[in-house]
Amino acid sequence: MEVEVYFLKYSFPCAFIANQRGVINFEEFKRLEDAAINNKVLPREFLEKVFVMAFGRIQKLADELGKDKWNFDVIKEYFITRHNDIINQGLSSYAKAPESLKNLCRIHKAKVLEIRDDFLIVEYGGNRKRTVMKSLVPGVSIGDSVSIHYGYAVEIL
Amino acid sequence: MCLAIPGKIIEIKDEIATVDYGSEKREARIVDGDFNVDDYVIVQGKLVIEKVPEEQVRGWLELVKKDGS
Repeated sequence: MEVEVYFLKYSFPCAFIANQRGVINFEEFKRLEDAAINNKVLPREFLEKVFVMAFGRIQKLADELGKDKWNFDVIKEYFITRHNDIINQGLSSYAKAPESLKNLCRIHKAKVLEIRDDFLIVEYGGNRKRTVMKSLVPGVSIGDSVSIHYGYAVEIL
Repeated sequence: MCLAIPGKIIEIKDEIATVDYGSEKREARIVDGDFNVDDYVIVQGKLVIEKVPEEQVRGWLELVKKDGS
């Protein structure tokens, strides 16, 4: 998978907040959604502009690791590890975020319990359940481990 | 446009919740979970994904108002 697509699958679920805030318009939101679902590569400049806060942090991580910010390992490390650390430490915009928002924003490892239409019922963090959309992981099966972000399963782990 | 703010469930019929945002109402699907009328919830892609405790509603509204991503 191209790194731009991998980045977008993880970041797209929070784009609805960017749209609500007016950072992106609805047309841009739909462009992101289409690219995330259909594995389309969007220009890096566009992704960096939309997810400017994330890229500030990814750049910092890339510098630490001595790699380019678009290196696959850097993007992966950011979403799998750093992203939750930043939320848990209450840094930047997360300082005043309510717990329910932070919990949706965290990337959780979850187990697929049930598949119903276009939705997955998953269990994460012990015995918490959430319904998420299947659209980013069309080949998923019951029992698979997936990562979840807001209302989406992002990646089969 | 997306509504990334808590809305209040005012009706549930079969698996479809009517969610009131003050300025407008939208319908969203409840696939699973304990969601009831009067609950504040977050909807994403026409799916009810999470309950928001009432005391956290203001925090959501303040956070999504600011610029940034």
